[in-house]
Amino acid sequence: MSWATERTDINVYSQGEIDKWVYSTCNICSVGCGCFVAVKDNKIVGIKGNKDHSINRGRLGPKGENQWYANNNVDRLQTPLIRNSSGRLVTASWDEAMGLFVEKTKETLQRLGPNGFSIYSTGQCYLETYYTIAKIGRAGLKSHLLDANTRLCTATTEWCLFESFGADGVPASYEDVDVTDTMMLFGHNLAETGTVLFERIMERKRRTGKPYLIVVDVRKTVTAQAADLFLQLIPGTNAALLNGLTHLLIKNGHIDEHFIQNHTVGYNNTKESVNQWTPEQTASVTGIPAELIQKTAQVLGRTDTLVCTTLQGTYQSVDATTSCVAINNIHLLRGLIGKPGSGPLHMAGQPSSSGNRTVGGVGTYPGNRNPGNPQHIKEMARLWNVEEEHLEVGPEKGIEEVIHLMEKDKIGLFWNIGTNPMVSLPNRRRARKAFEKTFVVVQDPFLTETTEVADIVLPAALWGEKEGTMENADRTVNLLRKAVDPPDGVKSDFDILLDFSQRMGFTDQSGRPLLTYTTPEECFEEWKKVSAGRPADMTGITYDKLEKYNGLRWPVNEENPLGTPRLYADHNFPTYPDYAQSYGKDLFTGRPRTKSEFEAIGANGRAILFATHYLPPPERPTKAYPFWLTTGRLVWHWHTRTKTGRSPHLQMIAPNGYVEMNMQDADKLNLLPGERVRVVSPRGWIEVPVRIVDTVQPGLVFVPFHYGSWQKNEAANELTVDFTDPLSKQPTFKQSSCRVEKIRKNYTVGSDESLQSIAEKHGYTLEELAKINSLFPPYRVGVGESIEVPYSRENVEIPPYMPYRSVEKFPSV
Amino acid sequence: MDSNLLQHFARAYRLLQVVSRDFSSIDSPILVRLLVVLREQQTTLYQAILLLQQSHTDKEDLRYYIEVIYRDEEARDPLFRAWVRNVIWMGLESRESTKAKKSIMKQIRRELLQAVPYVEELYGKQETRYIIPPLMRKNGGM
Repeated sequence: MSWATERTDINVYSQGEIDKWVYSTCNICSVGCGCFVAVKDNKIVGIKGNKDHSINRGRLGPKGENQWYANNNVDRLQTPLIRNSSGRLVTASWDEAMGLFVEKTKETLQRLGPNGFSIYSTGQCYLETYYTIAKIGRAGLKSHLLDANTRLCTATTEWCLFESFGADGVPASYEDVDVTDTMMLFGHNLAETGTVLFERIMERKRRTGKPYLIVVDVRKTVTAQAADLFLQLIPGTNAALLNGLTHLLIKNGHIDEHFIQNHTVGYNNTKESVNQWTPEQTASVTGIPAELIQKTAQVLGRTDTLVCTTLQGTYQSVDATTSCVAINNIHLLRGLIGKPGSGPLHMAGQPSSSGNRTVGGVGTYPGNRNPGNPQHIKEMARLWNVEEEHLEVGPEKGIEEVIHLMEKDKIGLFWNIGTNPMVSLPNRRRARKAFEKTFVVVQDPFLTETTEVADIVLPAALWGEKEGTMENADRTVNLLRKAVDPPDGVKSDFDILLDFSQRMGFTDQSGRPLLTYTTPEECFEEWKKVSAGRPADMTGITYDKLEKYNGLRWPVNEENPLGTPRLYADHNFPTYPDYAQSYGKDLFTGRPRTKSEFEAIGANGRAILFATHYLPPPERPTKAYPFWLTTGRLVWHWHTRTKTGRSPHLQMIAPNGYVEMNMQDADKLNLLPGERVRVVSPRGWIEVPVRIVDTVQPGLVFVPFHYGSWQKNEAANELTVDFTDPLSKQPTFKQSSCRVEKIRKNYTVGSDESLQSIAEKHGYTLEELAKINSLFPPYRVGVGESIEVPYSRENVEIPPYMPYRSVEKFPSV
Repeated sequence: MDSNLLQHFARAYRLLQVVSRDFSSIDSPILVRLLVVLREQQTTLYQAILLLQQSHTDKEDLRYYIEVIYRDEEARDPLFRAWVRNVIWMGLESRESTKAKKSIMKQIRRELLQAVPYVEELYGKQETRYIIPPLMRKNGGM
């Protein structure tokens, strides 16, 4: 049972009574909290949690409570923009902008063919928009270059599920979280990325003592501080740790032989691959004491129920898919899947990234259909009434590969929908150069770092201004009613897509318009037919039913009219070659499997255990770049701050970028808290103040990735490598190398000056100035002597979100 | 069978032999993966060449080999490009050595691209869609 009590979080700013509350869902993280939007005079004036929604029982996270401020921001775009011959973005009518868009599209298709057109969407739109992207992209444009920022976020979820189970869909759900004895949060800082779900877990833990929490992370995060067992590992060693744990499970006999025998294939491969991973070997690679590894294996081996979650610490690390498959392996070896309280729950980052995968806006064909299976292509052609040969075959390309195609002038037009890649992509200078070579259309409510390289900008509606559905991290489909009209001159993504399709004259093979629906609800009804009989079957859903039951988990069909809390309760996995969503890729090299190779695995309804091989990160600290660099999120901001940066409250709390460094390293460099430093990697540099903490381990620095202004030199992705996982193509943001340089001026001591007077003159204490110059009492400095003075220092205090979250830091500024 | 296909595969095979020898030391985890792909591509090309030299080629067996060769190429390309970036950022080898390898890789890809029409002749355009990845079919890749 979720939550012992309800608590309605509310944040309204209105003169007088509001007019109405409109049913909706939070559009920030992947938890999927139910909410209501406050409306007065056709304007959004607040939000409150939905107390009847089982996911949150009225609670909201800090970003969720403040997301609505962006809607009313004065800098909302209210007219399309076109870059003129002088290189400036100037206002244009919708007709002019869409006319140019269509002209450039036709020119691209003629010059480069269908795969000269690429769409890059998001995880923050609605299912109906994604499905329309799939239909326009696949059947209209005939391209297979449909990617999304979900590539940076949860592409690994999808690929680890393909590999182990044959299709997408997280096996466990939050209902399992509520009853499990043990949870392992692997590279998942839930306290700051999914606050309401974390609160739900901690509320139960305080009440019942359960679940036992194992947290694995390179940083001592707020989540780690709540753990019963915290494993702080060396960056880039996830797969090594999991191999060590799997080795012990097998060695200790903590495996379910009956389950392995009857419901899996590949046991010997897994067993052999972990043979060498003794506790001592694992300890030497991961830096975690052997005793702690053994203790963790005992907990995992003896628990009756287990939920493992993963997020960016796993997905954005080296060996990403391998590590997630290793977690699936653990569940399969222990037979802890498909029963209450058990199963892998590979999370999503964004509110609807899973939905984009499900309906085919990114990745495979809609309804978990395999782009390498002729029967599935034929089926899609029939459902859409288009010619089979117009639907491109083969796996999608990840954004790094698309950027490469842009560099090679193979992409003529790049349509960027609802995302800000000039801040979020790794090695962003490379990405910028590629974008500058390409005709770029950006669809966004605001001017962003990406509109700086756009040729057309289309103003899009925000949350609350459109209707549709989203799929959260545990397969729950939630409804969002439209609360207000978009501002004048603004259109929803869905309407822009419909307009584009109509102007392009896309038709089916009977000559009828390709898109016959005109509203999101009509679109959803079409999608339902496409989903029939597939893993994500939604034939049993209606908009009204979603509102009545406060969301439903797919599959929702005749057999499961109120949804499915967990997959594979019958231990029948979608690994039949004719049904599977993908034939998968080789787990070590990423080479796509052929159909015959997939058939040769012989799974046919059984889950697949794979060998999991560890490889270290390609870029590691060197003499020139002695630190590990990792990037991540703050509780106060969402992605590139397009929305949260416009909330006065959130922006005031965390306005600027910074770098976190362990106090031992700061001491070695004689750094003061808040002192501005230059962080340099082989790709670029930033200048930010330093926070001195003990939450990062010595030798590691952390930079939040939210800050990306081109002018302020604080973007984490100036520094990051753009290597990707060989299967999921998700970038390895978490492991780069860097050095930290002091930015100080040399000050020559004058005849009437002392260290004390110089310190006062520059706003430091005597002790601080002495520290950075390695001076000891009585602090004598001679006239004409040169001492170092920092150029600047800033306040880098970040308050904790909730009272029980006391962020450790040292020393305080 | 098809002598044109044989020629292109034979040239790609020889180029792979050369480039594989040029990776003298394993300097990067990316290279560990890349070498596995190159070895498989080389071995499979060899098997395809043997088949193509026979008077009666089993089309099904050949099809499987071609599928693997082109899927290896699909995996090889991003791995090799990543390795090149890794080399530059970590200073793993001289620019001249990397440049030479890039040139050979480009030639291998060109041979495989030039072989595509002969694969289409053998299997027909529709079936070839499932044998060769899209960007190589349409000559759209690197």
